[in-house]
Amino acid sequence: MSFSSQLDDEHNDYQLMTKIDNAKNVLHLLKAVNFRDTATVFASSNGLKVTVEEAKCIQANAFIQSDMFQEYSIREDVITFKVNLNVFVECLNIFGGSSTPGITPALKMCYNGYGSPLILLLEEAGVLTDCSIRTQEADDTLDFNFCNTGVINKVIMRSECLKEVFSELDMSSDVLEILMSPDPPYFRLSTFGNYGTNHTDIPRDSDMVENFSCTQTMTQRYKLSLLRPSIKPLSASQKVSVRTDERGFLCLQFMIKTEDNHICFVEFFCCPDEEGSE
Amino acid sequence: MCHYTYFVYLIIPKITYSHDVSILWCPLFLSLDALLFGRAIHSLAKIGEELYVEPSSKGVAFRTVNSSRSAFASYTFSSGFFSQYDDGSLNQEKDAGEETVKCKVAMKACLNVFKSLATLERTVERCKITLDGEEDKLGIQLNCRHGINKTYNLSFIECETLQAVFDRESCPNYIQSQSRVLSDAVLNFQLNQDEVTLCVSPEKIIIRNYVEDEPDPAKAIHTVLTLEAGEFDRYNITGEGEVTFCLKEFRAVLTFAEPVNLPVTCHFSNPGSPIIFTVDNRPMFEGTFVLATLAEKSDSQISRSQSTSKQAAQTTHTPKTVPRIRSSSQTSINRSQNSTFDNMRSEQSTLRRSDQIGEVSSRLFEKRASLSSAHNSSALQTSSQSSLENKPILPSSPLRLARASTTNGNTSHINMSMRDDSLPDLNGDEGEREEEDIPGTPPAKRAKKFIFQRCFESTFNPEDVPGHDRVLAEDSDDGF
Repeated sequence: MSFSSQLDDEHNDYQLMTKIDNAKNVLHLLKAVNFRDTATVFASSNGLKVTVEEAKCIQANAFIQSDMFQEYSIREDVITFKVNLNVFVECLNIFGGSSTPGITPALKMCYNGYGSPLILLLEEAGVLTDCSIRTQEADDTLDFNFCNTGVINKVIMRSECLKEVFSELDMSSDVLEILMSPDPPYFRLSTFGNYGTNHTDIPRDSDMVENFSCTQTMTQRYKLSLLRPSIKPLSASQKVSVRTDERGFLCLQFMIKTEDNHICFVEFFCCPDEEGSE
Repeated sequence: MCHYTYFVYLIIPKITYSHDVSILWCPLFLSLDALLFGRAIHSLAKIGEELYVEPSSKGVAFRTVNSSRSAFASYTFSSGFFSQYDDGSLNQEKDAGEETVKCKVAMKACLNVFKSLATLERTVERCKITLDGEEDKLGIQLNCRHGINKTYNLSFIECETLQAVFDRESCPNYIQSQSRVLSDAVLNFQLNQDEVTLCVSPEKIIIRNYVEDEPDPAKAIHTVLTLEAGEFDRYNITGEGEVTFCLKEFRAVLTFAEPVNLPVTCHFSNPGSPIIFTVDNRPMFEGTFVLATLAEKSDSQISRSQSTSKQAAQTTHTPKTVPRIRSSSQTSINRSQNSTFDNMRSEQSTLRRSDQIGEVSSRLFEKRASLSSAHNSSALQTSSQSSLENKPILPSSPLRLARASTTNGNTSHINMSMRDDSLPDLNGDEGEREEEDIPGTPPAKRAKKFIFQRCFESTFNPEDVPGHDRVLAEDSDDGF
């Protein structure tokens, strides 16, 4: 789907300018992390990273790589700004959900540096919408300092089974306890709610598990309310990787395939629950 | 809400079970059909808040009763239904006369396990239920596809058996029908319809919605559905008659029967006696629902008034404007007025055992049936009106269930029951022993407004204030 000439700029003097034929790809990724109103956008030559945080305990990052875009130009090394994510998502969704097959909303996104608004130009079937969203100074985002070398346990599995487990979790429980171990039960999610203690075990040899590398038995508890935002990207994803490091921090990585068969990632970090740790 | 007769549960006494004895009691049931279990639980959940689990050597029963004690439901799965069945009796240290422990869990907790029937059908391969006597935990383990195992640990409380006393075989009327026929019939009634009446005759059955006291009969919606005898698999109706029961509870039967495509059998006699629905797939499993029926045979259009006291005098019924019966001396007085009760008393004494924990007043349904019909006729003759808050014509003693009491400390109760055993006429004593405050028939919703009408009136009438006519300061005008 080519862009109409209306959107082409002869002079591109924006600090950041991107064009994509199907805005829905960006939309789905942003929706997956839209559990707070505002997000911080980091743009680099690799692409965009949209970060949403809550309570200084959890952080979600949506990565939109530059090769997903039809055009991607950036003048600086790194550009950061804060923007209202709700508005951003609403604008991207301006043409609504359903559309005739084959017709997708095209997007051009421009940003001209500190203080300037984020400009979105969307076009679908000849109808053009332009949005200008105010930006703010980017706050510092948390650095969970989650490095690969510190990873103790890692499991990669298909998202469907975890989706089901999460949807049936006993929400009356404050915490979700995750046990990962080289010994049985290998991978166990436990809740302690009003109805009693529930466990869900996924063995390492299950056909849902693609990769299982656990070096140590580790049990960590996480506040269930903090983990809830991870359900959205989980539902959108095909695969998920669950990793914990020696501090007990949890890192979930969701592999999402867009409509154009692009692979994108959403990352989710969570601090362990200090209070009830055994 | 209409008046239901009450079930009284005959308590099978037992349990010298004590926590002092170290028990390895661990019943275990392994089934390949979690979906069926799930359906049974869903069906029971529509009736009561607590699920009673009662394992025995022959099988395990899952039972419940509703809060007003007017509906009892039980699903019994024989040991043959399970691929592995162990009622734990081998592990148990048995004293003479000891039976397996019964327990109850929160229905909501169980429902949580079997929440999504679609998921159960799709993913669950096996279901294992265990009862841990030491930890007091009911464990449900679902082995799902892809090697995933889900374990649920629910706390249970030990309790007495929950059993309704009813005699299906003595019911003169019974019909059997495909569940599809009944659920199609029931579709015609509004979802909020509380009760329906079955008007039976040897040729056909008419199902009507039961309309309570409606201030304007013209406003009520009347639904009448006729089913010919030929639509039933078995039709054995001896005469004309009517029974009214709760439709909502009946829907619970169909929730289970229809998806498993089993016929439903209905046994009933006359109004006041319970109606018994059975979903029979013996020897594998059987579901039984015992619902109370309206005691009196009254036309739904008869307007009810608050002539309780009049009614009471005529039918030896205590003026019960309050549904909550503290069934103490009042009921005992009533009983003395009726010799039939004395017969029942003596029956009770033989049934009661000395080591029973909890209070029992057992009344057999057969007696009830005869009683209710006797009273019915007298009721009809003496008064064409019935009052809303009237309890059943019988001085009903609300259902008594032995309370879960796992301590052995109820020696006082035990003593009392022993004392009662020896008395031929237990009228007075029976009353004193009933300390449990089990609610009687909840009043009709409209009755509440009737009885408590003062509560709905505005209580403050300025004119009641003394000196209201003496104005000390005039109202100021609006304009300043």
